[in-house]
This record gives sequence, C-alpha cells and structure tokens, in this order.
Amino acid sequence: MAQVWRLDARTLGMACLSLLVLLVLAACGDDDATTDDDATMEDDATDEAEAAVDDTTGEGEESEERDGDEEVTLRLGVYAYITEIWDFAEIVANYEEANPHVTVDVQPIPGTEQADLPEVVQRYSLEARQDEATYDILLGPTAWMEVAPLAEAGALEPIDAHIPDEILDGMIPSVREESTYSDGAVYVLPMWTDVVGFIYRTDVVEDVTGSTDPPETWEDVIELAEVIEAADPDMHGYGADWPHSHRLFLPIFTTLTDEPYVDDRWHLEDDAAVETLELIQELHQYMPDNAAQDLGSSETFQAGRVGTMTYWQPQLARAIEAGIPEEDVALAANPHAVTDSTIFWNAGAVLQAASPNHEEAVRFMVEGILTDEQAVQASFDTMKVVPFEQSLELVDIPEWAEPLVEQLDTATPIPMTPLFINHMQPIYREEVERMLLQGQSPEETRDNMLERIQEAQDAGGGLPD
Amino acid sequence: MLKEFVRSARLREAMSGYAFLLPLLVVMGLFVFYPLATTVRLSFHDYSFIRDELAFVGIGNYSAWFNDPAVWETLWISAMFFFLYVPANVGLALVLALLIDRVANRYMGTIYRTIFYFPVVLPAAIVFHMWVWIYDPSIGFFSLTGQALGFERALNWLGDPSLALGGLALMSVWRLVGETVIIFLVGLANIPNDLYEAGRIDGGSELDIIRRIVLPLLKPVIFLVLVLRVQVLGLIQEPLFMTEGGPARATRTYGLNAFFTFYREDSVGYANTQFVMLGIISILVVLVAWLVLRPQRH
Repeated sequence: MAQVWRLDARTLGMACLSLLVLLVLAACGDDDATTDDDATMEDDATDEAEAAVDDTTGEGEESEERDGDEEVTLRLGVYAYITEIWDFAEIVANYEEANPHVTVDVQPIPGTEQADLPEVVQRYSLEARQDEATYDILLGPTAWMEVAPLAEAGALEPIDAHIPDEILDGMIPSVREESTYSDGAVYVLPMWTDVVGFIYRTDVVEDVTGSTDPPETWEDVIELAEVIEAADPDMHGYGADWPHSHRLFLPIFTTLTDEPYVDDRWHLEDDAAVETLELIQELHQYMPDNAAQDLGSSETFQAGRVGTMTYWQPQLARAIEAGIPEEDVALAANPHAVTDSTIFWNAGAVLQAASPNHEEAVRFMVEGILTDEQAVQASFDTMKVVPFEQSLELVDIPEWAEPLVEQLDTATPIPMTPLFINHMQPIYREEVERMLLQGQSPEETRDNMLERIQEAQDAGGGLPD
Repeated sequence: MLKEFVRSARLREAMSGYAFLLPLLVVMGLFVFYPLATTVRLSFHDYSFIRDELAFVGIGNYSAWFNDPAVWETLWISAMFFFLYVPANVGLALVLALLIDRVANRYMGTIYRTIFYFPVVLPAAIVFHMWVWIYDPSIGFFSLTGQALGFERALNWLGDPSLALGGLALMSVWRLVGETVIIFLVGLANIPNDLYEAGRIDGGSELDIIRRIVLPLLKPVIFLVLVLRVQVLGLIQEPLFMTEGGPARATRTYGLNAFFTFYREDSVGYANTQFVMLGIISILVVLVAWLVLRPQRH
C-alpha cells in the first residue's frame, strides 16, 4: 500500500511540475502569432483593444503632447560602433542636467556588433506589428539599408511632424533627400554623414609626379596608379572595396551621368553604366589582392602598401592611427567626370512607431547632440561630418572636411528603397565578381544586372508600389 | 476487471513513467515539433514577413523548388563542401583520437584534448574574423609567412572562386575537429583492453589492430559522427560571414541560398520549402550512411 501511495505522490508531483512548465512556457509564448492566417484580423483586434487602453491611460498620440515637466525615461538603443564616436555618459549627463524631468537610458542594440541588419529589420518590424517598442530611438541605421524596409513595414514614426522646422530646413538638401522615403516622409534624423572621397599618400604622389595635388578625373587616377606601381613594385597604385556598389560603382557612376537613378533603381540603361564597369575593370588591376574583402584596401593602405584609394573620411583617421604620418596622407573630393558628384550615407536616429515619447526623443537628439557644441565637436574629432547648417556653424570645420562638405552640395543621394540592400547590391556583387574574376565583359555585366534587378523590382522586391 | 486494472500498481507505475516524460514532451512539443509543424505549414504558403501577407499556394513552392536552377546549383556546392569537409574532419579526428588515446600520461592526454577542443568553444564570429585575416592575400598570416619563406604571391583563398569553398572547409575542419575527436575518444574508451592485448598476442602490428579491431568496433561512432556532420548540408554561417556566398557564387551553399530567400527576397514560404526539402535530403543521406555502416552479421 505504501508503495502505491509513493507512486501516486510522484505522479502527482510530476503532473504539477509539467503544469508549471506549461504555464511558464505559455507565459513566454507569443500570442500574437504573425504567421497565422488570421494575423491581420488579430492585429486589428489588438489595435482596437490597445487603443481602448490608450484612451483610458492617456497614452498613445495624446501622450506626445505631454507637459514639459512630466517625468520621462527615454530608451536610446545604439548600434555598437556608435559608442566609439560619442561619450554618451557626458551627453546624457549634460542633457539630464538641463532637462531634469528626463532620464535617458542608453543601451546597446543586440546584433549590431556584427552588423546583422536582416535580424535588426525583422525584430523591429515584428515589434511594430505587436504595437511594442523596446526603444524610443534607434541610433545608427542608414537610410537605404535598414530604414527603408523598416519604414515599409510601418515600424517607424516619420520625424517630420516632431522636428522643429528650422532644424529640418537646416539639413543639407541632398542629405534630406536621402532621408526621405517614397511616401514623402522623412524617417531618419541623420546624426552624421560619411562622404566618399579620394584618400592618397602625398609623399608617394609627390615622388612620382613632383606635386602633392590629387588627381582630378578618373583617367588621372588610372595614370597615377600606373606610375606609382612602375616606381615601386611593392606598392599598389589604387585601392577600393569593389564588391560594394556604394563604395566604388556608385561613386564612379554618379560622376559619369546626370541621371544615375530611375524609378529608385540604378539607371543601367545609360551608357555610363558600361563606362563605369570598364573603369572598375581597369582600376582593379592596380588594387591589392585583398580588395575584395571588407576594408581590405584600406588595411593594405594602413600597412603602407597602397598609394591612393576611394574611401570615406574615417579611413583616413585609421591610416593615421596605424602610423602613416599625418603630413603624408590627404583627403580630396571624389574625382569628377561628366559631373562633380559623390555619394554619401548617414548614421541616423529613427523613432520606433509604438514609442509613446516621439516628441521628447526628437528633442533629445536635436538639443542633446545635433546642436550641442561638444557633441558636434566630438563628431568632427572622429572625422564625421554633421550634415546640418546649425551644427556646422557651431564649430570650425576642419581642413580635411572642407572638400567633403562642399561636395555634399553636388552629391547624389541614394534612393531609400529596400531594393538596394536586398537586391541591387547582391546582384551587383555577383555580376562584378564574374566580370573581374571570370572574364565576363562589362556589357554582359550591365545587361545581366539590368535584367535581374528589373526582375526583382517587377516581383515586388522594391516593395513600395 | 477494469477496476482492478485501474487500481493496479502496474498502471500507476506506467502513469508515473509518462508523468516523468511529460515535461520533456512539453518542451519538445513547443520548441521542436511546433516550429517544425509551422515550417511545414508555411512551406505551402506564400508569406511576406515585411508585408505580413499570407496566401495558401498548395504544392506551388515544391514545384518551384524542383524547377529552380539556384536550388540545384547550391545543392551541388553544399555536396562539394560535404565531400571536402566531412572526410577531412572524420579522418583527421580519427588519427588525432587514436594518437591521444595512446598517450600514456593521463595529464598529457587531458592537455591534448583541451588544445584540440579549444577552437570549438571560441565564438564563431571571432573564428571567422580570425580566418579572414589568416587568408588575407595581402597582409594575412599565410601571405606574410609565404613571403618570409620566399614565395612571391600568396593564394587568394577567399577571393578565388576555385579556392573559396576549400578555404571554408579548411577553416571548418580546424574549428570543429576537436568535437569529433572527443566523440571518437569516447568510442575508443568503450573498446575493451582485452581485445588490444589479444591482437598483440596474436602478433598483430598497431596498424593491424587499428584496421581489424578498432575501426570495425568504431563503426557505430563513425555513423554517429556522419549523422552529426550531415548538418553541413545546410551550412549558412561560414559563407555568410566570410564570403557572402561569393566570389561569383562559389560558396553560395544551399542553406545560404534559403537564408537569402528568407531575408533578402522576403519569400518566407519558399524559404521554408527549401528547409523542408533539406530535411528530407538529410534523412536520405543518413539512410545511405546507415546502409553502408550498419553492423554486419557474420
């Protein structure tokens, strides 16, 4: 009998444990299953229910008109690399001192250490669908990379309605254009801009040309690369990250045509596309073998084995940090051809759609960083260009930044579309690899790119219709 | 009769057993069977994650799978990786395990096991970055070592389409050989010493003993290792981080292709079809391995 009772107790215990596990797991589960056939209906029902809750709690839209003295905790999610630029402890302390009702909680965004962009897009799209927001601000995304699919997914709040007009009007026009989605709304507040220019070793160039002046056209670049290699066989004449369209193809293409984009995609029908590919083919022979790797040419430049390269300004800082004497290295504007142009990208701040603190979040970004002299100075100190007139007036623009700031006026914004990161870039990479490594002609390369990108666009890959 | 059965200690004992199993079944159900069922269900749908649009397409995705040239191209690349990586991993691990098993000093054995297992516990991202540098044809370890030895030009391991897949396989062997070594060591520990001694008394050399005693007795372990390594057919991480499937699609494995279908093309349903088919292919491969390595009746 005792034996039977012991078994019963054990059975009961295990049943209780199972129930407990079930309850815990159920609590962790996602009851807003987005893959469900009825997901849309459920979302609608959830929206209605949460709207009702908002009505009673005073959250939601109305909460954005909160009183200035109401206690607010801002959740600022930052990409891993951003912390290398700014000392957030100081920025936050200054802001909280000036705004005692605001507490700013800075947290690194998981996954951004490895630039896991698809994961970032998916996570915050899902949050938006559930009307949730881990952060009020995501600081670090680029307009035509993560911001485009996030905007398409409805995960972001446009900033136009929340930012003071004078700040918005102070945004450099090309930068503003790059921050505007196809629906006409500005979704990203650019905190700094990286501009593609021409970095070169002045000592090397002087040795072979007798002058430290940079080459002005792409033909000059090729000539210079040739003489650099002829003078020193251990030195590569030129370097660039050729597999990345925005690091070589577009910086050349935008100087060879007035109309580099059509319907949000590259205007590959233009003969300038083939000319660009031919130039890449020619320049490739002067590049180091590791140019196919991310920042490979820049690293070889830092090792003193590349004479000239197409990169953006922080790569100059890296070269100096690596030991290249400051006086032996210089940064010039992107070489010109038909037009004087370049491309650029921004690291910006975006607002999660479900955050209840949009107004306060934008105020922190503007007053705490963009118009704060110390923060602006810190940006320039780490070779970042702040693309607002108000910011540029706060500090003396360093010498290295002058050609880039000037060229921002003629620079060509990259359209903010999911087509770029999901299709155009991967297709470009494959086809240019075939051209440079397997002998495909520039014409074939252009034709294949055009056909495949059009297919992706027709299949809805660009998303907005 | 029924009452007696219900009250019987046997039933209570059985119930007790099932109660012990229940937590595991619940966890398996939630974290294995439910996701698996969702994967299969989605494979019959067109689903855009960004648009949150779901539409039933029947066997449309499966018929597309059979007609998709990218599927066959990437399956071939995955198969090549499998044949490059698995024999090298198993062969090297077996040799290392046999050597470590012969180390008389217990402490030295532990040190060797630790050394070979160390790469397994390193975070994958760090290993990938390290190997990208090792392979760097301009300023990498192989390149600098080659220059020091007088070679003019280093191999461009990750930049040459004919070398890239081999480069990934070499790195993977280095990274995971320790895991296979440990499995083989467990298998070797289960072989009774008497058999070795009997072999020696019969005049067999060490090689004979390995060929006629150790390898036949290790067959179930080799089968286990093969089953575990079948997962490389779905390889994603290595090519994603180190080559992005390039150069010129040379390392675009089947798993990576499915990953891109999911994330870049936002074709979640079709990506799930690819994963379901990968599961079926993996089962077939395991079946073949079992037919080859199953115990023979003598």
